[in-house]
Amino acid sequence: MTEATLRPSSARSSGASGSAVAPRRQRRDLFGLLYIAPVMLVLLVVLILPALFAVVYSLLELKSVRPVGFAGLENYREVFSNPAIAAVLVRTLVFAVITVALTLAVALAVAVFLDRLTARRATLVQILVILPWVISTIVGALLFRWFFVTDISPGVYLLSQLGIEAKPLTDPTLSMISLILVAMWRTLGFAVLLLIAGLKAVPGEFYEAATVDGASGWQQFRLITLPMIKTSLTITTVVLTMSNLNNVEAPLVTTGGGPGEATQILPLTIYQQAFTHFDFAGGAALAAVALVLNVGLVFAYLRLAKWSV
Amino acid sequence: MWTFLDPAGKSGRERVLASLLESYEERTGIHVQVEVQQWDTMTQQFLAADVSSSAPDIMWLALDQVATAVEQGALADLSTLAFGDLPDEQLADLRDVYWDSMEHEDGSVYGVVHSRNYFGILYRADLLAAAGADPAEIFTWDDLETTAGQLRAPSAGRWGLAQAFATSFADPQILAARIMELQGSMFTADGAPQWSTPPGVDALGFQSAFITDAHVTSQDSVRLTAEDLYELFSAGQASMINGASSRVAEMQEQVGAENVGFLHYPSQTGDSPSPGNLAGWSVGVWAGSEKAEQAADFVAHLSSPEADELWLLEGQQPPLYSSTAAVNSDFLAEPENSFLTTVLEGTREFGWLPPLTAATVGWREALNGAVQKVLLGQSTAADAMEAAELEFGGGRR
Amino acid sequence: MTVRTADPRPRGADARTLRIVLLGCAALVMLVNVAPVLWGVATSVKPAEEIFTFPPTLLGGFTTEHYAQVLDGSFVRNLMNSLAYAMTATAVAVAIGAFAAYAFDRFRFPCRQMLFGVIVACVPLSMGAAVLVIPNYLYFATLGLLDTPVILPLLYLGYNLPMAVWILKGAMEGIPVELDEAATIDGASRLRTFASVILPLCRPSMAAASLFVFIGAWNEFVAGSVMVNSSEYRPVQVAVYQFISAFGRQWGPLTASAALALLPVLILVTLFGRHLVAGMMRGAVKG
Repeated sequence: MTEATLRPSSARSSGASGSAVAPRRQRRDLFGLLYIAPVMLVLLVVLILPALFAVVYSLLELKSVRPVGFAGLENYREVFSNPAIAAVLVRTLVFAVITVALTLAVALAVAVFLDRLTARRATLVQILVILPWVISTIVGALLFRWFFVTDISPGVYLLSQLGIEAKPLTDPTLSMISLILVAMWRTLGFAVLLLIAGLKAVPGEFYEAATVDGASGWQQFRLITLPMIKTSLTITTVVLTMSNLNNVEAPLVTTGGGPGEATQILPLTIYQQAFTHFDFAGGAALAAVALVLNVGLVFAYLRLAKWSV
Repeated sequence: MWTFLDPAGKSGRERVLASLLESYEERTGIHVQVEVQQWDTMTQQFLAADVSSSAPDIMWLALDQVATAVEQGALADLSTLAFGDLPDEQLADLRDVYWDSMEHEDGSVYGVVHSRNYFGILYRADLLAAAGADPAEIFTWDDLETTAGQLRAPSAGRWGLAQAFATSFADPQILAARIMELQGSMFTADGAPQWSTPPGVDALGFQSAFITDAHVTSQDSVRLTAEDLYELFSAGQASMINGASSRVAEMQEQVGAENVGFLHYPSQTGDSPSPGNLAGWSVGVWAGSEKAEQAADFVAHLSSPEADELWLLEGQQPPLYSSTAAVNSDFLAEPENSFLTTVLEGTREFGWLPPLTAATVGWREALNGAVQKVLLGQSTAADAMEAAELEFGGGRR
Repeated sequence: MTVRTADPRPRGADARTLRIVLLGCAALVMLVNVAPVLWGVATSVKPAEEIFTFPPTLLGGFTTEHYAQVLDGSFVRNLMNSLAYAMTATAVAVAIGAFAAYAFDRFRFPCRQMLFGVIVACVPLSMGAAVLVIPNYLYFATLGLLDTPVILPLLYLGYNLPMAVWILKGAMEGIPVELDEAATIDGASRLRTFASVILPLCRPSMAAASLFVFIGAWNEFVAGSVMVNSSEYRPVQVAVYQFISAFGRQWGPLTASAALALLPVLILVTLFGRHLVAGMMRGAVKG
């Protein structure tokens, strides 16, 4: 399956670089395995084995954290018998799709804007744009809340001076919108960075030629820019999706899942299952499901986007 | 030892801990290594550390999480360790509602409750005075509502009685006090919830009426966390809040000792207060500890009559021994310590503890969830209580 | 001809609207980005009694007491820990990542596609680590790594390695194979070619990958709060979060420590920020 998804690089047209790179010499040798061994070893120990262990753990019968026997799929049955879980999954999907789409749109606009600035100015603006990304999520979400959301925050105060009674987290829909905004705030800088790198790789001649042909700005964007930064968009989409589907800190700090169940999304639910309700077995089962979903999603998306190694 | 108190910290409690560590080292030559942990996740971490045999010898656990740890077999029975050797007289002095609730039927005890906490109403004395309200006149729920109504100042964005029903950092609410008042219990002895009963449903209606009928509490309460409340209180945006006695000292420091007061929950008739929730931190010994005897000895040191006096005088902590309270009645009578007297009254007479020998973790969050559903109009009180019981039950396997 | 003039693209009224929209968008984004941070810094120098005043005041007393309080404890130690963890993770990630990227791009060995697929699959695994925290804890406990100075750099290395390999591999794709061949003809070994031809050419991408790993390691929170218990090994983000204590959110020290924790990454981004785009340009975007 992977073979089909990740086509050999020789078959790939390396579009973004403009000029065709000569087919790389494909030596059939085992030396490569030696070169990649350290990386594979680290990934095995730090990511792959723990993930497998997590799946096994979710199949055990637990007394709090302590395994006392084999449960088979009992933990799964138990946690999915809760009707609220289906709603959580749907909500998570809606949240992720909207957040990723909006982040991509805004990031693209900002990236296009930055791309057209002179280098000196761009560097400064760029730093301001990526600022929330270089702050840790936990501190960033706290600061965001402290400025915009807390009742005694300057954000709320300024809006109230303008006659706007802004208590977004009190209303279920607005609360979800706030969470989406925080998520965007958190990841926008990184998305801009990836996209602007893609934009910089688009050769200027293309635009000049298009201008000569009388193409409008929008046409140029649609016909030249978008196709040329496709890979960059693909990667950005994958990273954004994964980052939002797995983020615990942002919903935990900003909305806590409320009001009601309005912002209860999967990563938060998994966290609370274990950390608030002390249902470690249910948490483990949910986490294993999320894990498989994540990996599946990445491959499905890359396949859809016809991305290759 | 894992705790949330930092011996290098500046607060009273932390300085007391530091001096007790020092005196223990002087007496026995044993240095107790303190690892300060994140207070809201350290129990979960302890449970995992127990399984992987890497837990600390001494552990502080939030009270409603103790039973889970005992069930897992993570805690040692103190009565077979140092506490078995304590003089009967001292044990009798120590015996109170906390001790009784911690004691299992077979006489085993898995922790001594420190940093005791009692829930009630915190009020800003200065704001009450400005509105011409007298806290000493609040006896009934109606009194509370009337006073809160007087204190409300919509133009300044100030609420009369702020409450917080978010499901993170959830505190016990008026709801719990009301259920206790109407029904006399919240749980069966084995920890099963008794909320979807007629009194329970009635209490939920009563709780939401503060927002929907009396308008003394903001609808914002559906999203506020207990932490938010203390900040609003400190900023003068809430004249009264539902809160914990353990936070009075911090509030005093922030807005002036004379401006902070603490009340029992009022009641229907006003004859005696409604039951406020009692909480605290159970200090126990890890079952897997190789130095269990020594660890228990240190717990006994932290809980000795001399230490108790220090906790009270320097740390503004409610005393464990009745004798400590009796000897220091002058200290307790000082205005800035009067909240401790209220706490002691709560401990002795009016307060309630959830069953500590059965797992009840998550009850505050589940009940807050029920209040949110009603306030958001997503559910009737009866359905919300049923859902809360279900959610709570699901987490207690 | 290929040099871009300042604004060679859209023309006319259409362009003006676009420019205004873009400008507005960017301005709003920057305002929203910067305001909370500045407010955090403002809070960190406010006297404790002014922090909770409402309406909020910008100008008032000035104090360094929160910074003094923060620097008084184990915070500096924790900051140094994170510096060490992040630098170790960065150095190792870029070193072994470059080898792997080189092999993936230039060598033809069995299971190459599948193994690269594994690396890609590790991206969601690394981001999903937070929800696996309890099984992870038990797993690393059996390895005997809990509460040691090794565990966090190792984790941070693993979490950020897939992305680093991805960025570096993209960069190497952009380097014409003819250069390798020329070097080989001159008699250089492959290792030599790698060291003397390939690496110098992907320096910007290595800078980008380094920055990426460093920031990722510096900002990690969940593993840092669970995998080590003693303050001796505690990383900086956890130290910041400790000011949210059982006594409430201590906004003064909290914002002061957050500001201090932000300083190193800000310096790095300011110094090497331009490599970030240049490096990514040659790297990740080419897949």
